Amino acid sequence: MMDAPRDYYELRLYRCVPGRLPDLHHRMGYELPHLFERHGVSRPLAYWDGHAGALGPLYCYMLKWHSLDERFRTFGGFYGDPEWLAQRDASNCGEPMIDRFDLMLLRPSPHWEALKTPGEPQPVGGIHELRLQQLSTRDAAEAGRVLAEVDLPYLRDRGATLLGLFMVWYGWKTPQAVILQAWPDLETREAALWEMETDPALQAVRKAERDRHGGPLLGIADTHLMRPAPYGVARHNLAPQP
Amino acid sequence: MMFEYRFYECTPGRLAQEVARMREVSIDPWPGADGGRDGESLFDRFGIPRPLGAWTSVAGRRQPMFGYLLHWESLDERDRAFPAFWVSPEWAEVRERTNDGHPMVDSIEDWLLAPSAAWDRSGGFGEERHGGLHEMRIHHCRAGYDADVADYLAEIEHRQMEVLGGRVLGVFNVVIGPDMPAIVSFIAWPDFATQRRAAERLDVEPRVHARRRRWQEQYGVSLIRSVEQTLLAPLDYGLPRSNFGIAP
Repeated sequence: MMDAPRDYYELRLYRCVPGRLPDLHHRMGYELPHLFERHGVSRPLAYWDGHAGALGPLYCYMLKWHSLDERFRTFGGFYGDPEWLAQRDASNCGEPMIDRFDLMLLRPSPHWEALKTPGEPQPVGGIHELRLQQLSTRDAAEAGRVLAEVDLPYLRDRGATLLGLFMVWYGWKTPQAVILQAWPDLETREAALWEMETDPALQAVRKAERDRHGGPLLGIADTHLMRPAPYGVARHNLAPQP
Repeated sequence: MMFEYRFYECTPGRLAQEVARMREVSIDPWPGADGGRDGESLFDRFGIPRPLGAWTSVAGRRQPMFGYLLHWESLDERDRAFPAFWVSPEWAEVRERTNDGHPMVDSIEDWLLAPSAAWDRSGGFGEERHGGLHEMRIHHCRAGYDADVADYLAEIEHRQMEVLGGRVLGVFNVVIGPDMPAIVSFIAWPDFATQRRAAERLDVEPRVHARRRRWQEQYGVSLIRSVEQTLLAPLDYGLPRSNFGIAP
């Protein structure tokens, strides 16, 4: 029997009620941390809000777990805490801040390790991008390899910093890769993506994939541009907040 | 106690093969025709429980669809059992043989469900298995009010459905998945005509309207954002028990 996996990342995507993002920042950044601590929810790795994408107005944060049984016990305790319920009602001011939400549990991609940024982790500024990339079931392992060995290094060489590379484990379509990367600015990203789209060498790679597998290995993707929240800016390789 | 609902978007034309493959690995004695040990299936050997129910969809989004429901005491245990199965030579052989050169599945979606307060299991379960036509109803709730919706389902909607010929098999909160909060109910109907009559009756049911009016007065909005209905054909090897065989 295999060992149970040890690393899970939880991606929480909240679709806000329009106009309530500032209130939600206050709740997440300043009201919740001590309650999370009380129940053993470790400090989120990063928080963001969204500029662009299908789920807006988007608020997003990421947690790390070592056991899912522990995760459900921990959140069970938190949600039952009368102080959380009182605080929620008080800051809601009669209307919820969140309209709906999408929760996903992710596992690190086996290719992430090789792409990590060396050195002491620092907060990463700029524009962050969340990319939900569908992979073909024709050969999902090969699709994951191509993404990590062709596409992501190509973007890195043109200004992207990879923050995290995951596979969806529960809660969303699989096989699907979840990519978090940072760009210094929008122009850099736009130029890199256009170059990728028009590069004859890459077009030849894509054609060879289609010919060999009977269709594309990398499917369509949803992308979200996000702004790191000042109280929890993502660090290199999504290292824990100090 | 955790439930896993897995649904497969099948490649058009491959649904029947996908259903047969699932039967081969989850139910049939392994290794096949010449007789397995003690009737053990491949799932049994890897510690994966047999499905509480397995279905193909008759109507709803993302057809052709195949889905099944599993019950786990521990997700840590689940995450040992399934990955061991996925990398096993037995599964590689089955997949290679049945894929026949092309995958049968375009994508899989996997939700984690926990029992809802609206699930009344006090009636217990016996040997009875529920065939007929099943309906999966997903009530997407306004965030923060899913408990109110659960009350409504238990007090009005599900009770009415049972009066009108349905059987509530299970009610769950989605705990990991898209477009939450959402409450998932599985209803067994004897046939389509009964399901349709019940739907028409619920549309004019005064208690349903009274509750909606109350929400409107109290909160200014409906607490149910949308209801997604999928009609499901239960597979003969996955006919659910009452209350999915889960003790009260």
